[in-house]
Amino acid sequence: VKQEFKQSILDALANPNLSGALGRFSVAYRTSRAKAYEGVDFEAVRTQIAEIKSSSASHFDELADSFTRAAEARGTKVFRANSPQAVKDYILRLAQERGVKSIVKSKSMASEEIHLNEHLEKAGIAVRETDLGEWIIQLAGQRPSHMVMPAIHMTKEEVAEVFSDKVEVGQMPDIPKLVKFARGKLRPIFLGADMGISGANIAVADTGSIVIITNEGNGRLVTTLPRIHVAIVGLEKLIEHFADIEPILTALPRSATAQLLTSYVSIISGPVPNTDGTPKELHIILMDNRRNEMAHDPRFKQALQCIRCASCLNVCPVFRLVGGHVFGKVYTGGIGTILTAWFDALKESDEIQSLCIQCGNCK
Amino acid sequence: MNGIIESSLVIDSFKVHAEAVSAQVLRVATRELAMESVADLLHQEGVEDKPDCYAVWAACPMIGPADRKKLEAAVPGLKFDVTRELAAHAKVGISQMDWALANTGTLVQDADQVDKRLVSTLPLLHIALVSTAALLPDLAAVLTRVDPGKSSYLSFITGPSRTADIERVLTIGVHGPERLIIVLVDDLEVAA
Repeated sequence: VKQEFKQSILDALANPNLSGALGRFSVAYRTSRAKAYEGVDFEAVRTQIAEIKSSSASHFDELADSFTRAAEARGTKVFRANSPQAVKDYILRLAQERGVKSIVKSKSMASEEIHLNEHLEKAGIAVRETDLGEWIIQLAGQRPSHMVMPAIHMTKEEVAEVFSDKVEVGQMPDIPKLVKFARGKLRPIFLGADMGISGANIAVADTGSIVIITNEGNGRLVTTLPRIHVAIVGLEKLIEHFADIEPILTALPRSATAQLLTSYVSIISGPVPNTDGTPKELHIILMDNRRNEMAHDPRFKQALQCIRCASCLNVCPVFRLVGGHVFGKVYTGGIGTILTAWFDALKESDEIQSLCIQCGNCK
Repeated sequence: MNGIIESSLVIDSFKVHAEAVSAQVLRVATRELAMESVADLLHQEGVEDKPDCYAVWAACPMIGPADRKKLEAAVPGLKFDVTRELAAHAKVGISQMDWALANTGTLVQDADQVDKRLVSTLPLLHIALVSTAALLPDLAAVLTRVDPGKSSYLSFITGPSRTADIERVLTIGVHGPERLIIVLVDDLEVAA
């Protein structure tokens, strides 16, 4: 293990905020998750999802073909990209051709995976994350430490400091006030944006639909207010049938945040009218970035069945101690180690996977 | 008889689940009473014809032109021709939903029409009307009834907007409404 990595572990262990926040959460999580699953046969739902997504992973090409046909028949533009660079080029070119100056984003791990913001900002386009946790870490110049709760490593004092430094002086460490502040500051940015960028939690091949799951309401604003909507979707989000949404929507909120359902779920199957009556331009990017290659590897194919609930982070004793900035790259924790090896580079996951103690909690 | 018992169980279950996610649930017998209840709510909320104090109501099947005139007269500051600019400075947004799900307290709507989304995202209070007969048991039931071939934007709403992104502390009201009032209306027809 390299010295630098060792030091990052020691720093994390010595950070009382980090171990406090993650420790409290990992205790509360188990109880609330169990309560959310009351009356639901978890093993049955898990098996059903595993079957659906395993079958998808064996047919990425066919599913991407049907998705493209169904979505394009409705007037959606579908772009199939193999590499992160192709995705970035497509979005930048589109933004430039349409005179886009300001972009609002709802949370998208796929966009984190390809470091999209940096690319667009270099070209002079303003890009704002609007999920509260993502906005905080964007302002702080950090990366998400958790796939569902990107700023879980920060205290309210640190958030107040970031807001005071980067947005407006004098913010107090009072959580409801900090949330109201974010609403007030981001609202005019939503209303002024030319393009909205989102991810998708599910993509349905038969109908060309994408499913976007959020709690804050930013996903609905990102897909409603700007005249252009671009969704970046990893191939592993594809499922064949519309009815297959049900088991995933049953498990994802319960496992991710112990909710029966998130505040908002949007199922978008085609362009809708903009607020000025013009049709919205809807672009869906199906991104491979080695997912197909991974699907052909018998040992790693299973990891494509992941619905990204981040449960494996929440129950991991190592994650609990050091957090996602040490135990992970863009994707964090146990599943993050595997995804990093493919979507980023094998050598990047070398050190982080050495942290695993093989306890099997995440299984 | 059995049907009546079942439906009262479904209504109770919806109420329990919606209230568990901080929504408020009312039930009225008729469409007329629903309009009266909304007018009362708007008065209680101090709705008036001033920026940031008025209410916007998205076009919906339950409100005809005559109802609209009556409501406009009863509640100064209630507006029906919803634009982006109007919705951005409204205090209250009102809309009719297509279905409700008992086991999660969820409202479901074909929201292709953009004003339906504007009134339920931008204002601080969202009042949602839904037919009691449109109550379904769960997600599986609604997924067989919606048609993604016809509806390009389906909205599922479960409680007001929320976050736990700072220190895992639940905070209600982020980018969407901070309050959701659901009015179940017994005599409304259900969309086919």
